[in-house]
Amino acid sequence: MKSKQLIRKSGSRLRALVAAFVIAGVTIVQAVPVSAAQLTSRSVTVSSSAPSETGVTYTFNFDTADTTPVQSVNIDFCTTASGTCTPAGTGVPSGLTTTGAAISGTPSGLGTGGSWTGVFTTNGRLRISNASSAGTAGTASVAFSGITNPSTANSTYYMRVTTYSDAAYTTPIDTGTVAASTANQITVSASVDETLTFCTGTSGITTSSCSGATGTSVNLGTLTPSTTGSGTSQMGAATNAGSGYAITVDGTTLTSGANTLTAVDPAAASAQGTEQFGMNLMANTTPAVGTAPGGAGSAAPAAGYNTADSFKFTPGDTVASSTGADDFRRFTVSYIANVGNATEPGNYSTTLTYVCTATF
Amino acid sequence: MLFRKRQAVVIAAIFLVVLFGGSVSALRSNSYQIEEDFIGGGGAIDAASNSYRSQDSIGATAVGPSASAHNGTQSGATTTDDPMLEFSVNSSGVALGQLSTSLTRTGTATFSVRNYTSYGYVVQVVGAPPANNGHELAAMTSTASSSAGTEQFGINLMANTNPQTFGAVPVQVPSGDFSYGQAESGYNTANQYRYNSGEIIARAPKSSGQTDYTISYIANISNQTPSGAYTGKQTIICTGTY
Repeated sequence: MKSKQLIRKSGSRLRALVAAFVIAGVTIVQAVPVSAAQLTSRSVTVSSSAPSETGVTYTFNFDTADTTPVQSVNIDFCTTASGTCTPAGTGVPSGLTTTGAAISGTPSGLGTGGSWTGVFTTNGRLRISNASSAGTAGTASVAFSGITNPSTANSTYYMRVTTYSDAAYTTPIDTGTVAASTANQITVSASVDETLTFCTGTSGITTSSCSGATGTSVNLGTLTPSTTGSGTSQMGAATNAGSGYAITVDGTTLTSGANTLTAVDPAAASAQGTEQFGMNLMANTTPAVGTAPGGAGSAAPAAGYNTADSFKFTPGDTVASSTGADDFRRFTVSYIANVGNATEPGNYSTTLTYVCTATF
Repeated sequence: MLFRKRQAVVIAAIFLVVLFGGSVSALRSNSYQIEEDFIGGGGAIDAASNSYRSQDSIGATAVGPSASAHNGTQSGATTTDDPMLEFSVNSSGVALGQLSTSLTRTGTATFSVRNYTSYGYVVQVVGAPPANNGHELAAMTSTASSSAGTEQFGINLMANTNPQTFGAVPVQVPSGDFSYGQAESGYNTANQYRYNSGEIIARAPKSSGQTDYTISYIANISNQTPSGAYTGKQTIICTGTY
C-alpha cells in the first residue's frame, strides 16, 4: 500500500515536472531567435559591372531550402555580407540607386499562381510580393531592371535575400547572401589611317593590284565609215573611305586641229558611218572590246557607262563609284570611235584625265 | 529510488531536447551540413582516407579547400559563411595604336578574382568590338589565329607567340594549391583568338583563392576597314555561386 502511494506520488510529481519542463521548454524554444534556412546555389548576375552604370539588370538565382510557397522576397543591398545594413541609410553601397527598379520578366520557382508586384521606394531595397503564390518553391529566378550600379570601381557589395511565406514580409522562410563587384570598364582604342589606291594604265593592272600598271596611250587605229575604231585602258581603285569613292573623266572628245568627233551623249550603240566618240566600262560584243569589272571590291560603273554595247562620253561624268569602303576593283575602259563620210581627215587625239575622289 | 532514477532520465532527456532542439541551424541535415567550422589549433596538416580528407591551414592568410570524391572542407585561420568576392579590373584602357593591313596590333589588360566560400565563379566579357562611325571591327566569332589583312578583333587569356610574344597564362596566387581559376574553352589556346560578347572567358570550378588573368587583344584590318578612330568598351562581369 505504501509502495503504491509512493508510486502515485512519484507519478504525479513526474507529470508535474514534465508539464513544468514542457512549458519551460516551449518558453525557451520561443526565446531562440528565428533561424531561417539557407538559400543554396545562389548567385546574382548583373548585366554590367561598370561603376555608376544605369539601367542595369540584376538576376537572382537560388534554390529554396524549403518548399513552402514564397509570397514575398526582400533583397537588401549592403556593403557587408553580415552585420548592420539599413536600407536608405548606412551600409548601402555609395551611388547605388534601386528606386527606379522594376521586375524584369516573371519571377519563377517561388510558387504558382497570382502575379508579382514590386516595391522599390526605399533605396537599397528590392521587394516583391504575391499573396496568391501557392504550390511549392524550388529553383527560383527573379530579375530586376533599372538599377544604377554603385559608383566605386572594383568594389564588392552584397545582396541579402530573404524569402517569406506571407506577402507582408513578416514570416521568413530562407535567407542567403550573394556578392557582386563593380569593375573598371576596359576601353579598347585603335586608329585606322585613311587610304586610297588609284591607278591608270593600258595594261598590267590586275584584279588585286596596281603594281604592274603601265602605258599611257590607246591607239584606235585608222577610222573609216565602215569600221569602228576601238581600244582599252585600265583603272584600279580601293579605299577605306566610309562613304566610298567616285571616278570622273575629264578632257575633250577626239580632236584634230579645229575638227572634233562628236561625243556620244546620251549613251548609244556604236553606229558605223556616224561620227561618234564614246566609252564604257563593260565587256562588249559590238564591237568586241573590253572586260567586265573585276576584283574583290564592289564598286560599279556609273549609269551611261554600265551597259554593254552602249557608249557615252560627257566630260566631267562619273564613270564608276563605290558607296562605301571598298576593296580593290579593276575597270577596263572601252573606247570606240566612228566617222562619217564627211568627217575631216587628220590625226585625232585627246588626253583624258581620270580623277578618283574618296569621301572619308 | 528506481522512480527517482527514471525521473532523472526523463528530466535529462527533456533538457537535451529543449537545449539543442532549437539551435540546430549550424549543424543540420538533409544529409549533413556544417556551415562553419573553426579549429583553434593543433589540426593535422593532412589526414586522409579513401573517402574522407581533412586539411588545415592554421595561421595562413588563405583558405584551403580539400576534398575527396564525396566530401569537402575548407580550413584556414579565418573562415566565414559569408559570401566572399574580390574582383578587380586593373586596366582601364588598351591602346592598340595604328592598325595596318600588314601588321597585327596587340594589347593586354589584366583582372583578378578571389572568390572563396563559393561553388566557383564565372567571368564574362560584355561589349561590342571597337567601332568607328557605326563600323565595328569584325569580332572573331569562331576561334582562329590572327590573320593580317583580314579584319579581326579577338582576345584570349593565354601567353602567345603569334603574331608576337605577348600575354600571360592565368597566375594562381599564392599557388595552384589554393587557386583554381582557368581560362574558358575558346580563350585558352595560345595564338588562337575569339570574341563573342557575353561569353564566359574564365571560371573557377570551385571555391578559389586569387587568380590573376591577362587578356590578350588582337586587331587586324582589311583594305575595306573604314578609316577613323575606333573605340569599344568591354565590361568584365564576375558571378559567384554561393
